[in-house]
Amino acid sequence: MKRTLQVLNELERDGVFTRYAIGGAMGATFYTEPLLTFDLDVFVVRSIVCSGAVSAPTSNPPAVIDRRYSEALRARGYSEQENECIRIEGVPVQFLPAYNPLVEEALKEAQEIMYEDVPARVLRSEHLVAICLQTGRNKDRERVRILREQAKLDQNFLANVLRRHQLEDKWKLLTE
Amino acid sequence: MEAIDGVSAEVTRIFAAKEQRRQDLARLPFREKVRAVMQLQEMAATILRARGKAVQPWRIAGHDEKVGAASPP
Repeated sequence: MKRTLQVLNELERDGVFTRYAIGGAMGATFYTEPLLTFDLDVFVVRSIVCSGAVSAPTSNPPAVIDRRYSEALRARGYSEQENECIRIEGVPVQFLPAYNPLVEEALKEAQEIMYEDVPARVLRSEHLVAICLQTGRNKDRERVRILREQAKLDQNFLANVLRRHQLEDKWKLLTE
Repeated sequence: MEAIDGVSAEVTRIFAAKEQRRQDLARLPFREKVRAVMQLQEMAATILRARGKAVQPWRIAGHDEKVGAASPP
């Protein structure tokens, strides 16, 4: 995964996107026991201008490989796609554009980590909880449960996130 | 670990040990967790393929390299 992260750093440095952070099951795994997943969810803030194309930076639906990412990756020799992922150094990466204010905030406040000697970013555990609550699938509720049990959540920070993004009721439903 | 009605003390102790194991896993360095996820993928892939679902475990060059320093807070 080290090489995968290096490629993501290169894409950010080259302006394909302005910021990225790991989320999803691998993001949660940073704080919890290892969770089974077959892809690496990477949330990204899009560049306004990239490769001569102009596009809106946010508010687009998630889970779509942006043409610019696939072009930039193809130029680097990564063209193997499966489902909606692009395989980068053996890891299927799913790019998820920041699709709402919660994800935008999560990306902005993602924490810097070092993976071996490679810098990377992971969403904060509190934002992962909030995103799972918002998404609300069975596996998201299960992930909230695991994060509650195993991650050291900053309860004040979490409460603020839930309040700002109107997720308090969902939190209560799940936890009371 | 909460006591569970109708479960013997021995099984309660086993459940507690399992819970402790999960907490210990949560404290592993991220690099080791990635390795564990890849092992889970291999295990799950066998079952999923038998069910007709095509999945591909990660193929990371050099994933048996030394464990890195990234750890959960």
